[in-house]
Amino acid sequence: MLSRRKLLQAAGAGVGASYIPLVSAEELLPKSGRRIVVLGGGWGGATAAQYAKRLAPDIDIVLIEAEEAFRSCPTSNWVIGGLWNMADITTSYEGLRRRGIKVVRDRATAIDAAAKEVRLTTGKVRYDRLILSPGIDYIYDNIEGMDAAGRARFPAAWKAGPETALLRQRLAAMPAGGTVVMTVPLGPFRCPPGPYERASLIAAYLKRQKPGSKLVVLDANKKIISKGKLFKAAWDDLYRDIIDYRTEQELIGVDGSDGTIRTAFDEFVADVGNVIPPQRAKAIVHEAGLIADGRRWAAVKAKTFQSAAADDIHIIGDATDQSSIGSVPKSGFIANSMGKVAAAAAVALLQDQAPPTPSLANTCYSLVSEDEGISVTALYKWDQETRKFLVPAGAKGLSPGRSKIVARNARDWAHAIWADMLS
Amino acid sequence: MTRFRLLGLWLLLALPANMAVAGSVDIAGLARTCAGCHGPEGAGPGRTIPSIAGLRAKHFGDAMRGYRQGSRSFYVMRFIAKGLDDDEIDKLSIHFARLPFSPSRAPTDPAFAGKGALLAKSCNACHGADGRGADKGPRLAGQPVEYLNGALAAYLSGERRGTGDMMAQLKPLSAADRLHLSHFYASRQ
Repeated sequence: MLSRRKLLQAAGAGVGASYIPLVSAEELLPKSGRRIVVLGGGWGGATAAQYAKRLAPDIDIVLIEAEEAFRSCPTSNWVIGGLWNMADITTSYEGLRRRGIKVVRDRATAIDAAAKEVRLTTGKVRYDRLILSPGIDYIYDNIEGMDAAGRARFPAAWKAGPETALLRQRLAAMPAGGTVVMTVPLGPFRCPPGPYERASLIAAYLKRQKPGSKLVVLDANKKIISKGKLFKAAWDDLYRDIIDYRTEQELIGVDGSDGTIRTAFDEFVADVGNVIPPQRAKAIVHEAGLIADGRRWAAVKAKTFQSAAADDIHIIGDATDQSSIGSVPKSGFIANSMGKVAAAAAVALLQDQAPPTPSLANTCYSLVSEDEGISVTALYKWDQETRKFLVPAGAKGLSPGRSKIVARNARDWAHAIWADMLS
Repeated sequence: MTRFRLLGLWLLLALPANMAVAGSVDIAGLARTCAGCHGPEGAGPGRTIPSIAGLRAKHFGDAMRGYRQGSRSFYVMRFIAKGLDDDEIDKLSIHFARLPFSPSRAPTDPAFAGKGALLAKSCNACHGADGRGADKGPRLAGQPVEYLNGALAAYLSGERRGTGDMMAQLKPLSAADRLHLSHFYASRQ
């Protein structure tokens, strides 16, 4: 017999998340005592949950995540380039569970800020403070032809998961002499060096395994937007006959049936196509009224990552608006740093204490070949005057060139930071 | 309000508006950012990135000042260190000195370690028995092999400026010697 609850769930799952059922949803994990709910088990959310529990073992920490395991988008380019496999970028949530964090595998459908509840597909969870780290949504609206067929033909693979493996398989299956086409959107987007690392590793793979193949990179930006000098030097040295890099190329449309990719002035046919679309904060943040009209990302108070629109909600990671925070990149390392700041702030506020004065750090590693890497590093301190993060003089810079030690450090870094987040 | 509290309040208000309040950066929060490369609580699982917990505060501080001043030029740390003042370096040194050292689990070669043992006596003079650290020399025991070997190479390339003592010790060693010493100290857990 079909229960009323099941009917409502079925209705709610299909309709936009602004629909809040008249019948009160079942409360999952009935709440007694203080609780922080973290929405999203990625680089920001897993870190926030980990550190909130470390800082305040007595506070109930609930982490809501739709996937059954953590899959890392940083280093997923190494899978696409054939250097690692999906298992290498996958970590279980068991470490967090062992710390007493309640990891709920479910998808959040809405936030009811007035009632201080998060709605999931199977019920609702109440919170005292909420930390949102939901990541990004793709914006396909302005690319003609990006229906289901278009998206299947030109996967973004800008969230680690099935599309990562799909892109890898397509490259492996492509005959030698084929053409790969990749499009890069206007910044800001998740992971500024990401597209250029991907281009490097696809080119390295084509050079190794698919002689005569080409990679066309259509970049909407005026130039490479991160570590440009270092990427260019590597491409000139290693991939001169492979990478055809073009700037100020805005993607207008695609044809999923024949692999055509169109800019304003040119048309390309891709044997393997990768469209990285423009991005914005996940719909659930917009629908909760936490983002101003017409803005893509959520404004926050940099000191605590509290939403500018709701005091008991913190927002971290790629979903945040850098104009409210300071010039920090949308990187995994930054999301991890933000998770620690939000956790400390949320815990302090729950304990009626002043939140501490925060810092952020970032080292962005990119492999430019199978065994050489480049990086950029910065330290950020919260500034009392501007109330945003600033880089102290001299505290930002690039690796001197590409080298094997940087590539080895990159692998170490991945393991260290995953242990930091998930162990 | 008592007279003394009022005086304190006046003094506080008299400070220039743009002067950072002493000790305003939360050191515990600053230290948490280090875990991104050095692992949780500075005891990372790295092969090339060292543990930074459980080292004597003096050595931690010397290393950070080295990165800031240029006697060490490692491409990540030189920028991080530039962002820290003396007070922050001192406080971070104490913070990490109090945390337990976690030895590397990266595998070492027993044959190489055996050869390294024969060379280690003079290193131990400064670095302590089994390289566990002493006043003159930081802990080597249990740091990852690749990190130790890379550090020795850095002294020879000039990427690290060594003391007179260090350079005198290193000069007679071959690349194989340095590798053997690295395996030896890495295996001393």
